[in-house]
Amino acid sequence: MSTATAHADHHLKETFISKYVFSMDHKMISKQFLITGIIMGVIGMGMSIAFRLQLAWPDTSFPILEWLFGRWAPDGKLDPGFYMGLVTIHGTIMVFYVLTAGLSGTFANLLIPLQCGARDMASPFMNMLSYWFFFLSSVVLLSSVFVETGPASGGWTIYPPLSALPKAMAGSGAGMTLWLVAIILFIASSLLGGINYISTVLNMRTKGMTMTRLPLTIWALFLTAVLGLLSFPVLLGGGLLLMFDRGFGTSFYLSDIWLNGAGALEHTGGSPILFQHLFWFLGHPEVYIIIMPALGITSEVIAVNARKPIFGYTAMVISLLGIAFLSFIVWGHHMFITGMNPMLGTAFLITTLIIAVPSAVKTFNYLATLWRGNIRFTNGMMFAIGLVSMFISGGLTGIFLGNATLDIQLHDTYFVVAHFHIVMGSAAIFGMMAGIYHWYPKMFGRLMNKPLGYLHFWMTFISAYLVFFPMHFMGLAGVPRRYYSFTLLPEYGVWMDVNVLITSAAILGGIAQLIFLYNFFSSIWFGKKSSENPWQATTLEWTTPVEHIHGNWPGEIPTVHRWAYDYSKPGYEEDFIMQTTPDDGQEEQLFETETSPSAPDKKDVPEGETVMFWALIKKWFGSARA
Amino acid sequence: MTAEIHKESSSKTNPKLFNVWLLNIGIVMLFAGLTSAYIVRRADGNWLDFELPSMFLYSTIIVLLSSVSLYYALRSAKQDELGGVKLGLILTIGFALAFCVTQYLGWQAMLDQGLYFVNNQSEGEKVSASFVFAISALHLLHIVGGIIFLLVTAVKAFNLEVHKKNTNLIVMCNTYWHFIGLLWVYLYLFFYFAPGF
Amino acid sequence: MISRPKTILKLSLFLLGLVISTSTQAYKSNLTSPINGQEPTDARIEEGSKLFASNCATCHAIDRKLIGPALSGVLAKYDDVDYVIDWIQNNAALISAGDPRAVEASKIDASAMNLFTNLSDDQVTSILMYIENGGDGDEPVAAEGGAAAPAEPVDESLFGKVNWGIVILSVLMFVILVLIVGIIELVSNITGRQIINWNNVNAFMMIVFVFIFFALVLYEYSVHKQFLLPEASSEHGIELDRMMKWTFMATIPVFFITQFLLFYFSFRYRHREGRKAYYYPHNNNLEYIWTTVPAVVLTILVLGGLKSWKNIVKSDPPANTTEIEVFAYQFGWQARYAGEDGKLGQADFNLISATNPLGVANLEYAKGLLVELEEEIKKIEERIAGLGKEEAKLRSTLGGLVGEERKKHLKEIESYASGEVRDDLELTIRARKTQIDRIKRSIEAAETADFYNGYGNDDQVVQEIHLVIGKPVTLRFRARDVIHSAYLPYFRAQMNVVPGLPTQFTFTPTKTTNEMRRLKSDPEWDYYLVCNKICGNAHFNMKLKVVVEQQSDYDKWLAEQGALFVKAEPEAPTEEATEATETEETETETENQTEEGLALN
Repeated sequence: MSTATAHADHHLKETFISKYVFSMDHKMISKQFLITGIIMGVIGMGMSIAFRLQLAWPDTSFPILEWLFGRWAPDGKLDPGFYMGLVTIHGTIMVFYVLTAGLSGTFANLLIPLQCGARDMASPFMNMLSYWFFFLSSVVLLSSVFVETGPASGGWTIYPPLSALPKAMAGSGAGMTLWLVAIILFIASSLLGGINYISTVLNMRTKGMTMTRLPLTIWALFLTAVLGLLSFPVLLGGGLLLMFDRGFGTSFYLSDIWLNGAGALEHTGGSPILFQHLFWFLGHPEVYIIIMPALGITSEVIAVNARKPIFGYTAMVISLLGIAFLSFIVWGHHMFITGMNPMLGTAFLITTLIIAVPSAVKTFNYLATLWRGNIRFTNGMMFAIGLVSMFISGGLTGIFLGNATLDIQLHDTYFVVAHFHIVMGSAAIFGMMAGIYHWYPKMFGRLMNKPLGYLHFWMTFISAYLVFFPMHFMGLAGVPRRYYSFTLLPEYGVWMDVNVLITSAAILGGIAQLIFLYNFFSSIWFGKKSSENPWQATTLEWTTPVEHIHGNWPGEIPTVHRWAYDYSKPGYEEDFIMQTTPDDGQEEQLFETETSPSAPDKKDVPEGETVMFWALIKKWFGSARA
Repeated sequence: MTAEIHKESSSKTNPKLFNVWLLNIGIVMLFAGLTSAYIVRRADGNWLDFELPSMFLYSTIIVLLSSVSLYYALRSAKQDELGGVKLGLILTIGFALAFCVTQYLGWQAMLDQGLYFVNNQSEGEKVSASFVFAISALHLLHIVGGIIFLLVTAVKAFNLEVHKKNTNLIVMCNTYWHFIGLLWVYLYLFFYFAPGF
Repeated sequence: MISRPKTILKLSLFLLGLVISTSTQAYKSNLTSPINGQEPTDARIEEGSKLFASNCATCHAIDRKLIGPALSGVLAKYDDVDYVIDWIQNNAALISAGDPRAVEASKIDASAMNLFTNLSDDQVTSILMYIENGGDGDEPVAAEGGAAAPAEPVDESLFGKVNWGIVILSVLMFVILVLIVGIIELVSNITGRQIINWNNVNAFMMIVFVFIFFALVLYEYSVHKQFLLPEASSEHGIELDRMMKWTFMATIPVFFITQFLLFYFSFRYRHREGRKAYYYPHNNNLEYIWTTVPAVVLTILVLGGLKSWKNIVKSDPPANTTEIEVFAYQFGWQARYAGEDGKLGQADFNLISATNPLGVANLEYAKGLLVELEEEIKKIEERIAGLGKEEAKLRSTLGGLVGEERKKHLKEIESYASGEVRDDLELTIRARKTQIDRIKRSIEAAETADFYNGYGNDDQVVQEIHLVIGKPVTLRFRARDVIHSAYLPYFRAQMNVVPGLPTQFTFTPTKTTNEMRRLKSDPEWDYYLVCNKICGNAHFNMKLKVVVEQQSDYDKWLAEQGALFVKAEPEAPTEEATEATETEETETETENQTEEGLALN
């Protein structure tokens, strides 16, 4: 099916299958990503509650566990191997399926064509493939939970030799093979999507939409796609070598192994550290792939709801660029205590602490945006503010972990668990929630229930802090992560009441998500119908009709005349000016240059020319000292 | 799958062609990662440096020839010489298949030298051979993908759909194929010079 | 679910008490019949409990499946105490010999059970007595096989532990609140007037939240401060702690200030009638300031970090350091001291066996191992020859089985019929042949290479490490199977233990175990090294005791540790000598085990 052009009447008849299942319309695909992401999220969270039950009440028998997991929870208590399987699949689902596909997949697909002013993605067919590879990947991953030897259980980081040797752990058998297959499908999905996103942003913006007039959300999603394109293939390579070690008996990662029950293995010449390098070369950019869209969404949502331009647009773009670039040279901070050359530790220590700077800049810019704003607490805004709070908390603990010296003490303890759950499991999820609430009217033409949204926010926010904040103390006290129980040392016992608190709060958080799920799904059919621009935002997506049409705009694609952040501009009656509103000569000059973001069109952008991005950078740096 | 240039955008670049470039970048990263792994592992020691069998040199020549013939097909298309298009594409597919054969023979030559994919009977130094097998096999997989691309283009050419007014497909095909060919040249030179470092 | 503080306290004290009591409780024997022809006395059961704790508890519990199956009723199940003892000591030998009970047991879990050839028959008997006595419970185990419950069933469900009254009340109040709000909203929708000003509600909650947030953070700190680690017990640890303190000092103010501003701004600048936001798109000076200030602060932290990093992970340990090998495996730790010659012998994974779990190099042992391996290959070949009979036997016993058992049985038959069992055995033979080749090559190179230099003959393998206060020690790490990690939080030390990649960590302990016991008011306290990298199912149960003591106590302890291979030179090929070595090794290790029971200094 080719994309329709100006004539929205379909010459081709749309069947249910072509409209809802194998759709090539980016808006439908974004909803597919969202719903699959939500379902995976529910499963992932369910798994976390299951294993937290074990941690909080290790001697208690939970019939529900036995009902759910059968022989993996004999007598209502989780089998230790299966516990690690749950932890592994939980991590995999959350990192990849919810926060990468569910976050980027949804919002890149929804917003890139709409906010850039394009009819659809560069290749709608590839886009559809991207979703179906994701779906297939999810099915394969979930199937790994049901194989006889159990799901992959070496942690989502699946280090060899453990993940390469089925005899070392049951979960490293068929379950691990399925995990690898699922990840390969996932990488294919990510690449297919990412390529489209990049191409569309660079090549298919509408007239007048220069790079510097793009909303920050698009910048973030664009750079996220670039990160993915450059880093996922390396994981693919690493994963392939692991498959060879597992399936063919090669020794890329394995050497000098004597296994109980198998004796001295033949493998020789491999390096387990090599896997860690290849894994974390993706692994680190991956976490920025997760947080950047959330940050981009937050910029958008905060600006719209504070009725103020995002403070320091240029600085925000430069920080995004800085984070994107630096994210490629910090991966070794996951490997400080692998015994690698200490010089490498030195290098990565420096680069890791540098990357804190752009993150700090973004935080301050968010605060400055709120300052003297006119804040409306929409549901999306609540989550955006929550994200900033979480980003501060989690980002600061990153400074501890990035310091190689301190990492000696904190690596693989609950301190790390606290850190990444606060930045990813809270901040990034909050970004996703903010995006969902904010763009729900665009996706479904209706509004979600506001009070339920507030309830969802406060319950989630409070329970997130209750769950993850105490973990810092546990980590500082030297409690290791990925432990099935706290029985190894007497001194771990003092944290049992904390475990109870954490699990209880997690259950509360789970209940909050049920409220969200009810709100999300019921509003699709019963929510209040939305107007075209319910939040009174300036960006292009709010100029499309509420009822979706292929090609997005019924007539011509609107031309853009200004940046995305003319909120509460002095001298205007309305507190927002759409990007499509032509300039009427009353614009304030904020920069001395002609092509600054907030300056009006001095001349129309000639047809067929894009403003070269790097020329703009030069102008910014040259003239910024205005 | 006709490529539409989205005339409504302000850019002149064909987005689908751009996609091929992006795909190429992704593939670069895949092989960059694997060749970096090769270097990192080599630096650890216990590593046998060996010369690539001469068969791989023939592969390199063949793949370069295939690029020439494919470029000829593109030029013919731009000049509306449909016969040249078909000829060029057929030649390229022929060279591509020949490449597969020479790669296979090259692997055979390595096996004859006692360099296997699985080298567990050695002391671990032959993992260098495992790397060469793995990387070149992965590359061949991408060649096979390219052959499929070539076949699709050839079918279109034989349907007289590749001509001056419709060069998008063959341009994309060229972009991908030259890249994969150049990638092999890089890999060959890499394996050739790496032992010297 | 809301847990009352008192209940939590009681629960944790109970657990703490349970853990403590299991390590100090004297055991009362309730058994009447002898086990393995020996009387199950209180003393035997107590010995059994200690041996169980240090050898079996990593993977087994008595009344439930942990990594390995539940152990209660094991004697009744097999009805052959000699078999059980053999299995415990060397299950691999039984499996490769094809003993059907062993083969079946080997299928229970993917990872195999460790070998305990270091335990004598008597020691294993004590363990069995402890198990039969019900382990930590006071009641003897029921005679029937299977997991038996203690006489009084413990209320295992959560039902009784939660104060359901409070839970139900809270839920009710919550539901009522939601309903009230729902009704108000309904009325709002109908009348068109917004009754609840949600903006103000949320703004108010924002500012309230931040104060409660800060209060809770400070409260938690006040409660948990005591559980944080005390001053470091190592020299570099002091520096690490200082770095930690500086980082806290940099981040805590930022935390409080930015969080406060976030919520305060949200409250203060909430929308009100007639309010307009201030159009302020950028201010480059501000950007420079809040780019530079964090950059400067982080640079200071970086420089500090670099300095201490360099000091801590120096690649050249001091000349007077003591080298101890710490060996990690699924699932436990062993350590090796260098013996009189002060030099650790070489080791290789190909030399690992039941009698030499660390694979230390010794020429005559290596030659003996070759013989063992050849024998093992022969046994496996015999088994391959007899596979047809094994399969036939399985088929003959199929009739009469139903349900799950039948399915399992059929699967087993399938694995024979499809050739899977044969392939496995042939792969094993191939692996053994490779191993033999490698050992042979190392023996051939013995003259020129360093491997059999004999330094390892006087090495001492121990189950806990002792360090001398104030003296630097270099832990040299080696892993047997997968990546483990050695974590010693009190010493601020951590290092991955990777198969094929030796790693090390050097530090100087500054506080003895006795000092720490006084500090913690706990005469039973000990330093421990725990595993800190997911390594399999029993990852959470791998620890190594670390004792820091005065030089004199250390010397005394070290002198009692047996050497691996008594002879200093690599010659002396007599068989009796090798046997003598093994017996002596076993004897000294027995001494080690019983010494654990005595109060540690």
